[in-house]
Amino acid sequence: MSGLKGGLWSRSVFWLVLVTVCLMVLLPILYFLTISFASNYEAYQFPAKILPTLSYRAGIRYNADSDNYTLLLAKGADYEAVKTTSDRMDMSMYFKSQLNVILSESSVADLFSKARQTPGMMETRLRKNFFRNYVIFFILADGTMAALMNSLEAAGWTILISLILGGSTGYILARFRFRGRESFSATLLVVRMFPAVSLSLPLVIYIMKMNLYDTPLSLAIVYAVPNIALTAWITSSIFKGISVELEEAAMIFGATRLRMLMTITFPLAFPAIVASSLYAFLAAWNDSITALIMTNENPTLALLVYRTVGSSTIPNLPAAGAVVLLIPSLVFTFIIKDYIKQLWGGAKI
Amino acid sequence: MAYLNLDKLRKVYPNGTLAVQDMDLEIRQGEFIVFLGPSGCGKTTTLRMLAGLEQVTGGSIVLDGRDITDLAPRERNISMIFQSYAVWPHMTVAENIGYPLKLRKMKKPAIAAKVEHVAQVCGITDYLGRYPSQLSGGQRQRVAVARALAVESKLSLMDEPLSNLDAKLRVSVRTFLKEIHRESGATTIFVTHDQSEAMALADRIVVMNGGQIEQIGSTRDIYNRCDSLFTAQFMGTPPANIKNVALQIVGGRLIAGAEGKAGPVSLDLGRADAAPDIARLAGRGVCLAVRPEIIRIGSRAGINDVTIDIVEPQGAYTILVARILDSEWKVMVEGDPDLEPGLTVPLEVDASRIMLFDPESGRRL
Ligand SMILES: Nc1ncnc2c1ncn2[C@@H]1O[C@H](COP(=O)(O)OP(=O)(O)OP(=O)(O)O)[C@@H](O)[C@H]1O
Ligand SMILES: [Mg+2]
Repeated sequence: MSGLKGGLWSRSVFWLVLVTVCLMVLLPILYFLTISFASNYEAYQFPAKILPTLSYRAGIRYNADSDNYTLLLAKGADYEAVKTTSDRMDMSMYFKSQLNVILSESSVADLFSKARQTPGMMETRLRKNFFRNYVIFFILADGTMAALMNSLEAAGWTILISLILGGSTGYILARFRFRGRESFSATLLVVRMFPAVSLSLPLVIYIMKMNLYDTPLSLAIVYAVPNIALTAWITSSIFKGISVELEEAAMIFGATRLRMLMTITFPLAFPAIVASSLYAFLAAWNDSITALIMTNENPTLALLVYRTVGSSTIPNLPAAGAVVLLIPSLVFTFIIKDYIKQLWGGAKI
Repeated sequence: MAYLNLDKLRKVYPNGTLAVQDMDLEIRQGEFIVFLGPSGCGKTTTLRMLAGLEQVTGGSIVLDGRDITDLAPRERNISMIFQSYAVWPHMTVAENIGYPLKLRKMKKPAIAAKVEHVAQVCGITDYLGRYPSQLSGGQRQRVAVARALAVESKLSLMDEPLSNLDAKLRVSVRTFLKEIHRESGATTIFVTHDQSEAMALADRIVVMNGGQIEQIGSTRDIYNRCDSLFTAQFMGTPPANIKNVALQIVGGRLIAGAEGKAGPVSLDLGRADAAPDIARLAGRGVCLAVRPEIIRIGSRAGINDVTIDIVEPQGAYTILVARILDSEWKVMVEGDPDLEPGLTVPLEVDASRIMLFDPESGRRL
């Protein structure tokens, strides 16, 4: 890059742009993570914190005139009174529910007695139970493991159906000439324009008739419909890029058509196949609307998250659920990222 | 019985293009055959029909006593070298060469030994572990050759295998292919539109034009005894000089006469009794084909005096351009003689090497 060699000016601009772009991408994600670790109290604070906190700077004041205690939390340089009570149990509950601080009644009693002996405000640090939101999520979301398995199964079927049908369509579009090929491939995109809901409502009837209602397979069928078209598009452009002579050479040198596909074409198209399966995976993984319609007893993880925290008015618990949902797709993406890299500007075929 | 026999082979593409018309060809075992012809004459199509990559519209192909017309490519035991090399990019050189052997269910040690052997023959032993993207074009071509060599097929097909190489490499790979052929003795069909390649390599050249065979023969036949006007015009750099003339014998000398823009013109072809084959055609109109190298600068002034228009020295020989029979003819003289444009010289033609064609049909007379 000439900017690196060039003057200070262009170098500064280069780094400025780079840093800005990184911040634009990373900050929202960081904020989202922070929220997922925030207590109810923190979630309502303004300005919000960018980094998650591990503990609170707090103070407890004994009010001799009314014989009760006031909890104060540091806000900037000052302290803000957040709770006044005489009851240990009340205070312990407040700690747990609003601050994610787990303190038994006896510990609270200790604090109270210390505060009573201290003139003015007694300063202390309250340690946050960092993963409390996640614990609550797993307590609330009964059957997370089962839902996770359902999601994985649905995603697996979606990938399989999309690849088999979409991949072979892509291959045919790339290799065979037939009347109306162009319009056919354009029509494929139209399929993607239908919202999944509009497909799932009518399909539900057939799914029920087939006795597939409330199974991951039935979901996969709906998810696969728009994905087959997308897979056909992605793979056909890759198949077109693979020289026909490579296939012909294989057949001349002794391969059957199937063998040729397995040993020459598919390995060469592997990056595209992996990319398509990522799309299929994400489509299946992120959906909750279709799952809402098509399942009953066997929800997917996304649906479970939605059901559990979808009506929550505080963003911290939904954020925790979303992170739980995010982790498997992150893992999947990381596993296949090398192949995707190959597709976008890596090895030439 | 020929080793490979094409009988009335015909190909019509689905869009109606007639690419190959009723092609008859017999090839003996071990021959190196070159298909030569201008672009679009059906060379590739014929080769692809032989390989089984293109469906045959009519006729039959018999290889080593077996009708292979409708067999799948893999059942024919044919190898092919492509213009684009077609080495598989996701396999190492060794895997590329070994792949066909694996499909033939050879044992692993036997494959390794075979790969090692052909790699040695082709001089690519050092690259066996590399991927094709790490090789130069010439090295990839050697891999393709090694792969074809390893399978010991009944017939080896090559479709312009040298055309992606630069001029210098082309000549050296050409020599290499000829050596390989001499050692392996594999029956080979080689497609090209480069005549020097064809002449250097071929046992027999098949000249094709418009989906048909114009002539089959050795380099010598194809060059000096052209069956048709097409071949005479196609072969040779520069090609033969062509003119429609009336042939006469005047005073014991053969004279070719024609109507020029400014009255009649003529060319003295030498003594009639020196070329009886030609003299017998005296008195009729013919198409005269004279290769540039059979014209030389003569010693007797007064016969065929012409003025040189252009001199093109080429080192080993020199090409002169002059108006002969009121057309622009090329004359090739040996060495680098001291000639200049504007000079008038007498010309002599070696009448025994002249070719005459029927002006209507273009066939040899
Ligand atoms: N798949 C095809 N469909 C229709 N016509 C074709 C097809 N392939 C080739 N042709 C036509 O058939 C004729 C012969 O083509 P072919 O490729 O055999 O020529 P060629 O002799 O190999 O030429 P070149 O020297 O340019 O490679 C051409 O007129 C070409 O346009
Ligand atoms: Mg060709």
